Amino acid sequence: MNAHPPAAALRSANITPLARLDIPGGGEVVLHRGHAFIGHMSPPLGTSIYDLADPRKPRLVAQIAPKDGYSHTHKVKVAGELMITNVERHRRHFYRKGERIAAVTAELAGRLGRPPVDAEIAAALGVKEGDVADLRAGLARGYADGGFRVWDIADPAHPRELAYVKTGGIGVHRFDMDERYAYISTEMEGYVGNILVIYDLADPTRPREVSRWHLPGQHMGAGETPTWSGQRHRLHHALRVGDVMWAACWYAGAYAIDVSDIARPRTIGSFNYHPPCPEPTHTFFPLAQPLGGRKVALAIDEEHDHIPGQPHAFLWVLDVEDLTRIAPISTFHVGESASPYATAGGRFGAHQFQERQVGSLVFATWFAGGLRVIDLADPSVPKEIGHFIPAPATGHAAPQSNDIDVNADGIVCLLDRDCGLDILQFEG
Amino acid sequence: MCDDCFDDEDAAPADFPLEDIARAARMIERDIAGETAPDEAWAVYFGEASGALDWRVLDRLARSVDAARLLLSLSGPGRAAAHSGPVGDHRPSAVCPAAR
Repeated sequence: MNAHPPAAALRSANITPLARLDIPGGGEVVLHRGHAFIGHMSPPLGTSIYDLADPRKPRLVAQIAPKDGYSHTHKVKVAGELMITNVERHRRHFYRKGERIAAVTAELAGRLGRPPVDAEIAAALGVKEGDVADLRAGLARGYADGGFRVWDIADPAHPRELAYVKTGGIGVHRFDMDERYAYISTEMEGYVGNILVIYDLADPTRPREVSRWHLPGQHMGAGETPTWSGQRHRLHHALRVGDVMWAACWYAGAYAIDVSDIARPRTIGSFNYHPPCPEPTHTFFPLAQPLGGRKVALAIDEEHDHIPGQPHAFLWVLDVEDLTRIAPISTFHVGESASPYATAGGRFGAHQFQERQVGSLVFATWFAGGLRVIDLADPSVPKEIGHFIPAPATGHAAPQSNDIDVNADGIVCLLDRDCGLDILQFEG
Repeated sequence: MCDDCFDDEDAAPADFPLEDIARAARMIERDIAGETAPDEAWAVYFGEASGALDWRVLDRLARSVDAARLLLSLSGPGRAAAHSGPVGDHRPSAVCPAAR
């Protein structure tokens, strides 16, 4: 894929576009040692690695396919000379609807007094009539490949697979890692929804599970009973800083977990703002330095389908001086007037920020709002100081900026979930 | 709706016209003890403007909107709830005088 100058992007003066790659969309981008590691959203593409020695001319050096056509590998993390990629059922929530076909068919038959036709089953499941056969096929096929793969990337152009670890259920979503441990968000037998499973990478060819953490109610195999339906409350992912894991939990808020004893993760405190706030918590992470004399963390929600009267997903600024009493300081919102694509279709609202920020700046993706750069110098009053909104890719009504990473030189990689990677220079 | 992110269980609340929600919510919010939120805060909450919101203000507005939805649901059903389609509606301003 050849890079080209980006066309028709909207930007602030402190962000200069360097190159645009019209590559298939992705879930995560990581910058590491002069390379961009990209997890693509859908098979047959899995992971792409680009050499950014000249960020105006990114050069594809390696591609890794998913394990099979039914899995996707849309997340990636790198530490030292190790890389981990996830293995998760592709279109997992769609195929989960197949598990309800028998119950829906029985309910409809009882109500109608005859066997239902596929159109009626489809309507009850909220899918198209033509999807029912696909759901049945998926149910018959099942899925048992979920997990993660560990790679040696000493030479990024030639990743070498060291291990494949099976986990459970639909497999692994986002995760964190360092050179010693992997902090995996995955489904596991006996639990409902994703939990945290920590693996020791001392021997990366044989990752070894050392501990688990879950929300109260998830461990049904041990007799716990969830107070919610389906997988509504689950871990999205947890990020480690020092001896604390910063965990974002779906519709359940932000949790701080003590991992000073790696074998026994322990909840320190949490802040749950559901209700009244409607969008699920996506990421929770502390800033490296105190701001305004306070230890500050960020949480960001992921935009859902928009309902009138509901705020678009936004950024939270939290006081984490005392982790047993996590408290909100402020919130930051982007108005629809800030992007010409806000109402063009697709999602408009927050999704993700650059994990591991430096200083008081937050680089956050806002789907159709593109990239927003927010200054938290005064954490009570966050202010936007830059933006970049890519032009929609061909065939799309709006950009869907999904993930972001920034390196120490101010090189920014902005990844769209549908199509495209923008490489930018931030001159803050 | 993104099949890769959201479950069926993530169904959203009943969907009423923004102007109805805004009118009811602002009426309710004025009756809550404490300082009434300014127009600018409502504009940020309803996505009309960018800006910061203090948590106490956000909580006040969110609870007012929840109460407004309940009030509206008692006076009639909303539109089909979840998966209401793209955000392409031509929405009236929630903070313009006509919406109060």
